[in-house]
Amino acid sequence: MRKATQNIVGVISLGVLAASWSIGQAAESGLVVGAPTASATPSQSSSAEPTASSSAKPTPTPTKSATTTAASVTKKSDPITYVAEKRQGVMQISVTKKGSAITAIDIISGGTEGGEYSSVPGVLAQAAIEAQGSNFGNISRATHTTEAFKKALETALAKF
Amino acid sequence: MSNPVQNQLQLVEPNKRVRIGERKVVRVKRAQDLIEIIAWSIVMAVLVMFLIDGGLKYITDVPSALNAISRVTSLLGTALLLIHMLLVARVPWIDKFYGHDGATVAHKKLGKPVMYFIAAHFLASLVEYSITNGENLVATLFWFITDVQDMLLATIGFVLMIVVVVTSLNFARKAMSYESWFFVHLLSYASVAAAIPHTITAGSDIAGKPVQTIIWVSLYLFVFLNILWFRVWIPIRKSFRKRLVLAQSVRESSDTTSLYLTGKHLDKIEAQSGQFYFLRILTPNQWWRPHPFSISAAPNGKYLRFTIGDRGDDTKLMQNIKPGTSIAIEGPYGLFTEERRTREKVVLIASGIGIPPIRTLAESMAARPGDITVIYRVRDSRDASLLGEIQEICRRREFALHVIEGPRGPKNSWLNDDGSGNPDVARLVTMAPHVSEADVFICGPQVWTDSVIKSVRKAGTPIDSIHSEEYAW
Repeated sequence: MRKATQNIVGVISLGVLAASWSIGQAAESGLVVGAPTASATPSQSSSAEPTASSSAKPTPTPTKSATTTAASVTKKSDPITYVAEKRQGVMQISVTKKGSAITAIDIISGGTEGGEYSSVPGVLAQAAIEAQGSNFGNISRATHTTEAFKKALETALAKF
Repeated sequence: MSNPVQNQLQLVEPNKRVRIGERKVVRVKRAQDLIEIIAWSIVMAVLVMFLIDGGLKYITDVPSALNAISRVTSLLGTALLLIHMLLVARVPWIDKFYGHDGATVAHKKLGKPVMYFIAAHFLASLVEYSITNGENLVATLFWFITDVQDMLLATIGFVLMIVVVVTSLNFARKAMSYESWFFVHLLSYASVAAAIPHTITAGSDIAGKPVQTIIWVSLYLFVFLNILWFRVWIPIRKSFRKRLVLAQSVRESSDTTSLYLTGKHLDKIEAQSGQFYFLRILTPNQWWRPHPFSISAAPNGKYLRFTIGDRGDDTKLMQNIKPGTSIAIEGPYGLFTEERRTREKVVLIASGIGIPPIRTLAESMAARPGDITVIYRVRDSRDASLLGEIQEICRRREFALHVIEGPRGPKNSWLNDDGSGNPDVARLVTMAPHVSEADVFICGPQVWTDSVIKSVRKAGTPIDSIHSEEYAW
């Protein structure tokens, strides 16, 4: 390339790189919660299952307390171990309910993977609050984490 | 067409006119700039896709940083690899402005950077997963190869790439025959093919991203189709149409032989004086390795002639091919032609087996008597190929001819030892007084050529007027 062309191309390149970097910093993560699908429905069947398996009494009280008092109650989930991409992870969350509504979900222990995957548990918590339960779709490329999160959520809900 | 060789030397009618002037050079440079900008844009595009995707946003710890390094090096490495492959696809719109040799030299220069990027990608991924899996590198590599989809193929592709690059390094090239190097180099296509699946199934910049997938697939397809069209289909079609066979081979000197090829449609041959073809001798042993040779007579519609020096290996076999053997050709290639000429005066300088293109240029260039000076460097004028022909051409067209014979002069001289002690530049200016305002065409071994170029530059000829073709393949 001739010198003049080189200089022009160089300046334009720097500008383009800077612009795309700033777009990238502002961008939402590429991880999007999918719509609940047939495969995601286990939320209903399994919502019963952990209740049964969690040796504690499956008390019918939550319904009562939900209708009468409107105080916020927070319960911890069981720690769920799972494997994603051959990495061991432990998923444990705490769920806060006000009446029958899920108002907050905090991640006690989350994903194992760094990079963009570190944002996965947060995205899942948001999705769970919106769906008021585990009836939401998978995050593609984070299926194992999603499943572990749903299990944890169900164990927590079972404790109310 | 039983005997295409005439006793009386038949020459083609020289070109009637030639366009000269600086504007030709400017046009070529503008086109080169455009091509380089396109190549640069491809590299930029992959970086932009990476950044817009938030590639740098998620770096929080060592593994995520390694992940980003792995991604960005694989993207850059692949973009450069595609450019690297396109450079030897013999694409007309590249070769027209850089020459086959220029494109090949650029191809060679890109080989190592491509490997470094891919090696960095490989190592970064390996270390990243070793850390997150909490295992050592060997166990991680084993896990990659055995458990992760398409990673075995990708690893094989990487190993092949290392083999191809190492065998192309200068020291290895010198130790290997052209034929074995060429065979190893064919593996590079296998190397690339083996690496493609993992970029699609596991690559975090392609899998599940439709825009990126479309861009990458189009880039791959573009390069693949160019290779298929210009390196495979066009040569096969041309060779099939011309059906060239060796009509006669004529010994020119103790170690050179001229091959006269005849066939169909020879009046439509597109070659210009100074260009070359790749020849494939279609015998069971030799058909798969092509060799480049310049035409040694301007295309005359009756035969195509190549003069081949015995340099061992296949060129030795080519001294004794049976008449009637089929020969496939790929080409013509090269910019060592009158197209590059921008001035009225011309100096043609050849050494040894570099004579064929110089001889054809002398035969067909547009010139008045005295416009062209020919310098032919030989070991021994009694055993110099095509000397009689070049003498006859210069006599008929009234060009100055200087045949320089004998052992080389002192201090890396590209001329002989004439006992005068004059530097090469002085002797060059004496032989070709107009050299500083001439186009200079040089053809010979690389080291010799470099030394000639030095003298010519010292004589005051600008670099844009010096034309030489590297034997680069």
